[in-house]
Amino acid sequence: MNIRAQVSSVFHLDKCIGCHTCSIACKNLWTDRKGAEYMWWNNVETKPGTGYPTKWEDQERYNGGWERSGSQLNLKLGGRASLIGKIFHNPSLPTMDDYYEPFTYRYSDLTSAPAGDDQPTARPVSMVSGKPMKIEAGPNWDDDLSGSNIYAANDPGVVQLSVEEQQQLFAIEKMVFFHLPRICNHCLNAGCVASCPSGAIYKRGEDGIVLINQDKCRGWRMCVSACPYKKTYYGWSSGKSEKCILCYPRQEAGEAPGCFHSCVGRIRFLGVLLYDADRIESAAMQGDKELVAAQREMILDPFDPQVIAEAKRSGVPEEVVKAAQKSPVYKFVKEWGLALPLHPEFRTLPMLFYVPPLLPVLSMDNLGKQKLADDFFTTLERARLPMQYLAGLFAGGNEEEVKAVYRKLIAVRLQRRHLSVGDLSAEEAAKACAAAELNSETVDAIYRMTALTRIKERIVIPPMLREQAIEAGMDPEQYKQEMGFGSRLPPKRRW
Amino acid sequence: MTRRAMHCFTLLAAGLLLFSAPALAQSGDPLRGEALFVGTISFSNGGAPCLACHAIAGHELGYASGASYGPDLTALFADYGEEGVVGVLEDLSFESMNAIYSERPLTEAEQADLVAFFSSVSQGETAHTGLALALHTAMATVFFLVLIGLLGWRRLQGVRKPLVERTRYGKGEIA
Repeated sequence: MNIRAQVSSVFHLDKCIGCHTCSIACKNLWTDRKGAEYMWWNNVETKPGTGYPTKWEDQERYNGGWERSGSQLNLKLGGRASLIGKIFHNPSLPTMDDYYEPFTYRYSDLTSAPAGDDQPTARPVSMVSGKPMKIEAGPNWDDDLSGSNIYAANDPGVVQLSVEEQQQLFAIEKMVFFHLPRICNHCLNAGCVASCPSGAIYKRGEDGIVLINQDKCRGWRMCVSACPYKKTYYGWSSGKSEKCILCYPRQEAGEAPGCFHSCVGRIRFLGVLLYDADRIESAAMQGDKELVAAQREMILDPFDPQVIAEAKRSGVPEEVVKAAQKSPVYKFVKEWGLALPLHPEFRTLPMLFYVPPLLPVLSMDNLGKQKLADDFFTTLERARLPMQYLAGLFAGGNEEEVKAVYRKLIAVRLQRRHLSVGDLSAEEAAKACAAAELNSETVDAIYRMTALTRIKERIVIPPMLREQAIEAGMDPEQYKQEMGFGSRLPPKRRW
Repeated sequence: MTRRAMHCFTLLAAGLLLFSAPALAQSGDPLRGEALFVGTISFSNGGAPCLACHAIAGHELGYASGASYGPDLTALFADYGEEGVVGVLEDLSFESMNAIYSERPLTEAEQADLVAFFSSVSQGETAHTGLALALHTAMATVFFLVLIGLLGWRRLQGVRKPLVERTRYGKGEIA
């Protein structure tokens, strides 16, 4: 066993209201620069929809992630030799149009236009060329439009459904959507790290945050292609690639990452997980449908004395193990089995997990009268989003994984309904608990963690122990003295 | 007598190594002249070697008579004669050369060497038309265009626009 710590997160999709506050917080903190206008380290997508960049999930086009070939795991982008072969002409990059051409408005015209018969208008101008442009796309272009026949209908997950299911999904008054906030997954088997020809991308040993060394990056952009989530971006002014840094400077100061801190719906949970790094390869080699279970298997119980002893041997500090014991992510992912990774079939072992959305009940049945317990909540087949669609998103196509989660979510809802509204009998609630294989205390714990927690319970930042990490590379005293001076590389002298 | 002997000797030496060495070339060394022309020996006042701008196709200096800036000098000696060449080398007062050589004039020995060299190559063939160069250039261009085409063959051409066009207008099928 080789135990490592990973700062991981859970996004509870039932709580996401799609307000994009996270995106704006992130943009203001990190990507409000020239050359970075188009980047959204955090973005919120409407599902069904094609997302940002358009159809990012379609790896037949973008060639992101890993694929199995025999007993080996290879980057879909190509092996080492193939990567060098394409180094000057990476063929699998999204175009600017696939992200969107960043734009602003000429606001000054509103006040400086000469007097005339018409209202002055602020014309949209491209932030790339500065010229007036027609806005045709944006990072959340089809926001809240699940019925759109361009973007929603071409969602790679929707395309896989049967014609009947597709029609059902987009039928008037049955239309349904949910929001999917996305940041870098800080994967255990990150494609970006593996693809980088300069060796500039690394996973921080102490907390698993994946970072791009801006001094070493040479802008080959292999990471942009190799990341199946399209969460590395090329900075057009700096000539370097960059990505979500999980706000590590904030975390090191004990603050929640910007997007977590600003989340209005309080959907975001953060905590450290202990996992067995020796199992990464075997877990990533599983069949599509076994990937979720294999990844869950890798996550270790921080209360198990054997795990604690092994963690100590592997160099995980005691404080971090303690933080892992308080981690809400551990509860959601492992203990309760409620949170699933996004597109595990890309085989990068993403460490951002999602509680799938339990969508609102249809009130059409029975002439507008809702029938809750009897039918809807217990018959998942009638869920508003086809299970197959959700399984394609969160479980590599394994519907059983998704159904197990839904049974639990339903059990929580029914028990709360029984307790707070009282129109459901205790037997009914108990029946749902039994179906979900949960006892009522666990159901209560899930409810409390989901709905009633304060920020310190939702976001448990482990002690980052920077001194110890710095000590491995340089004298902490020297680091302290030089800190804040910026990058200090010796000049390049060629002769 | 000595003059004649010297003449004979120079003629012999030049004739052995090159083709001919008429009149005043006597005093200069055509081999040294070539070295100065090519630049393996520097001009003592620091002027640029002739080959930087001029070719001598008849002596296979400068690819396909194409040293780019000045005219080919194969027939220089034949055209201007010894006096003409000497006169030119003395002050190099062409506009473009003046800028270089007015402050870095050639020494007399160097001039003599160059004259000897020019006279020795003046019989060479000047008939390079540049056809070979054009052919090579065309071949290389085609090669690189094909290469770039092949490399870009399977490049991702964009996803969103074809998607929108296909859905909206029923065209622009995505590759």
